[in-house]
Amino acid sequence: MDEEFIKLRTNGIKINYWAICHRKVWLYAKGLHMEHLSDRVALGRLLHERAYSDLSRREVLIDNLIKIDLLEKEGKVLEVKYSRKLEDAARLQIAYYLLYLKKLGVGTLIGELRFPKERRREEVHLTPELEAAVMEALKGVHEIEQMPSPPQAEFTSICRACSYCELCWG
Amino acid sequence: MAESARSYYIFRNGRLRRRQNTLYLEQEGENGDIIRHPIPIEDVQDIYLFGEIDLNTKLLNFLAQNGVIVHCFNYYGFYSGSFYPRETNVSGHLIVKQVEHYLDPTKRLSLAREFVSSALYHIRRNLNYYSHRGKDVRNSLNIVEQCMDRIASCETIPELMREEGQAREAYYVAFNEILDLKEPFEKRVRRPPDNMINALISFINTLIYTATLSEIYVTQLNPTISYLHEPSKRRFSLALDISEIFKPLVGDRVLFRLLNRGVIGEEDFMGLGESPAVYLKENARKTVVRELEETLQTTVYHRGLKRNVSYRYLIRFEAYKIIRHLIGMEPYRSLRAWW
Repeated sequence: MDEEFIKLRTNGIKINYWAICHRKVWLYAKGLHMEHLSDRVALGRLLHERAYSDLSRREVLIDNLIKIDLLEKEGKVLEVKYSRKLEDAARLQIAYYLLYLKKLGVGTLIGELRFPKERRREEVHLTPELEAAVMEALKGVHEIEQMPSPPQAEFTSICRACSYCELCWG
Repeated sequence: MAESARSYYIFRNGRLRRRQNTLYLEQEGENGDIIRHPIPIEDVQDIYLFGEIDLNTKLLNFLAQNGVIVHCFNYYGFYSGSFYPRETNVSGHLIVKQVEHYLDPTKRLSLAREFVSSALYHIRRNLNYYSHRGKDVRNSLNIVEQCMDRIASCETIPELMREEGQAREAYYVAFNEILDLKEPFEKRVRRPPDNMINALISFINTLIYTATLSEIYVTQLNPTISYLHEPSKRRFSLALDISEIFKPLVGDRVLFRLLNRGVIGEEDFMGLGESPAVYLKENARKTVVRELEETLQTTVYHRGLKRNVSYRYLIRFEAYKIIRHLIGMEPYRSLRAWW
């Protein structure tokens, strides 16, 4: 692993959040968590646990930092999501896992996003563009974490569904 | 704890038990057999124990795991304390900010001022309400308004507290006009309260305090670091700060309603030993709890969120607003009922 990557690496969730809302990244990074209060997040967790029970999956925690869902038979990195609403964020998150594994010397794996409720799946390959996007996100997260107060945010339609909604706007 | 979780009030005697991953309230039936009421743990935010309840550490561990607070009351309905589970939800950054705002007198004062401003605003609101209903509370209103005007120029916490005290005194004088009382309500007496009104105020304020404490628990705020009240070893004083806002807004209105509608009366109180001190009989306690809980569930339209939120949520939002202030997102502006 190169030095820059070691310095910037972080949890997958922050990469996901970075694609959605920079303020959420800051709040999450400072321990102001809201996920435990959200029924929606609980539903997502249940879905994750219950979906594809027939597949041989394995959760692996790497470096105490990222938790990867491995599809053992096919050697794919799996990420189960509740809906496709924030697909770009999910793609970035899985690309980060792929990049992490690559840096660990595992080789280039294939990722797969799964949306069981919508019966859809999408393969994710780590292209140079995607890799660059992940690096940009990592730098972005790092910068946000250095800020003394949370970055500005606008109330948008996705705020309503966010578990941080009331902390930001209540 | 989920969004939808709520408060459970237990008046009966029995045992709270953990069986597998569910909570059970067990009570003895008429013919001696045990009746079990399951309570889904996900649905529980906090539990109020008024009855005589047996429990064990297995249960407490289970409740702690699920972030459930337990508020305990003694035989007379006086608050004895809370089981406040270890915080799993902490932010070092926020605690540092909380302390910073306590240590800096200017920063501390600006938060304390907001608490008092909101408390007096809601006191005035109550007085205005009764003034429009033909009660002569002009004198009290005048004094409260003078106090409100002086808040901005208070330079120390004791000065602020003095204004609050004066306003509250005038407010309590108006109780005699608002309520139809046999004996005049002279002054606020605590520990133990010495008459019906004081007993009722004490009981309701305790419930507001515990509700506030429960709401603070779900946030990352540390309940012992406060601004208006001095942080003390014995109390979660931040809950005292925030509940100042909701005592007149929620508590006093419940009190007026219960007494003026005759739901609660002289016959609902009892003396304690030698003292004329009064506490609520069990049935009256239930009535008060029910009325207050209903009020806390009442919703108002929140313009920012564009949806209805309950009074209980407004307490939580107050905590969130303080967090926003502390982390430098936006200055704290305490609640002023807008409806």
